[in-house]
Amino acid sequence: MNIRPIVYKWICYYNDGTELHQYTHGQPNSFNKINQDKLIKFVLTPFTYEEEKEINKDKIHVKSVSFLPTFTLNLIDDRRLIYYRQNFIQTEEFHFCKDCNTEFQYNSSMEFHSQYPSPICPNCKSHDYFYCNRCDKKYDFEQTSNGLCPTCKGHLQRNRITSNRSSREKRWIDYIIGYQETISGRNSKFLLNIKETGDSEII
Amino acid sequence: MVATIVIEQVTSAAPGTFHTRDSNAVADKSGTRYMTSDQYDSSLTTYPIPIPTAGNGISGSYWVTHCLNCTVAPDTYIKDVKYYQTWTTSPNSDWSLAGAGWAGEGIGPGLYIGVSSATIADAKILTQGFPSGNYDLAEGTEGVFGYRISTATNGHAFYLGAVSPASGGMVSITHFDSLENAIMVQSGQALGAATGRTYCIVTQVLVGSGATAGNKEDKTATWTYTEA
Repeated sequence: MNIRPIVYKWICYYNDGTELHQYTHGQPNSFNKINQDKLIKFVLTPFTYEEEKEINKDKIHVKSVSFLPTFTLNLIDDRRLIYYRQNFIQTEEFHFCKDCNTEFQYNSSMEFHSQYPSPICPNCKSHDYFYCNRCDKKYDFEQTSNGLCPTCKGHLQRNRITSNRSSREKRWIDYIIGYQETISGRNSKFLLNIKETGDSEII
Repeated sequence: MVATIVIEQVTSAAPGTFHTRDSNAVADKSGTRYMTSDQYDSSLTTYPIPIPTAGNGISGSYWVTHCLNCTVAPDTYIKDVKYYQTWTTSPNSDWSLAGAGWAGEGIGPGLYIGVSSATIADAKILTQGFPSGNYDLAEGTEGVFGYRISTATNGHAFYLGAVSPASGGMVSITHFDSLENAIMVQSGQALGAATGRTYCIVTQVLVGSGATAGNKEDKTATWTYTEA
């Protein structure tokens, strides 16, 4: 999936009683449309299920997570709104053990088996091995005779149990909301980092 | 709408072929393997990086080019594209690339990234990537070594004139290990409400004599950008 659905929408409240919503009838409004001069309150709130259905007509763009908390920012005096989404795309590699069907990440605290680099599955301790079809025997690399069967000298088959490697993407979004204001001639910022879970911290 | 962004790896002669790295658990379409060839299929086990014998300098992979491609435009913008990698200690230690390099080369084994600023501090706030139009094919001797990003004659064209702190256009990735320390690939607005590619990065592994052979441990790379 090449998109991370957003779980929060913004609503702007103006000093003349009007509002601007991030989505109007399922269509997005650009952040540039926000009139900062009239803005008195900025709200981040989860989508309703009806909104999710309306917006996601062609593709999943948003997700309704109704239990998320709502965040309200009052923009008094000369406070200027800051809002953006910090997107993360993380590529993570892992191995998959064909014996116990468990995935694991190989790191420096884990073992390699024999000279042939195959990580040992932390779950079932399996690893790659060499197999002689003629003798029906398994061998580790050191037990082979230059890669040949030590008994019949026939060619061996390497059975890849744990050495196959894959990657996957993880995506997540932090919602950054805050304001900047001029205090004693100096620009100062207040920023709150809101996770997709609704947890938040001042940054 | 919410932007659709994919990671791409670029190979082949300029203007390059852009390969989307979006298929989870499909090895030839995801992840990156550093090889001594211009390949994008990370499931290949051919073209490993040979370990040089003592006194014969440092060997290296072909450099690898990555960028982000926005296939569905954001509502307003994509800004401040950054990149970082997570290591237990460093590529040199975690991957046992080991050993000192050849002193005359002025650079040790490790994983390097192309930069155009003179200090690490600047590399975190000023643009270090290059437009996809400046893509430069990775070359070298297949199965033996790749040209250094910073090599004067065969290096990456975009970074040849760079004034980098240590090695003329490339620094260790260990400087960029978290969001707070990420390298700034493209500062400011990368894309408006439009599709297109962000700037690219180029990375490369250098291996010293005394390195250990074999598959190296799994690692994590992260792209991040702001959107509105």
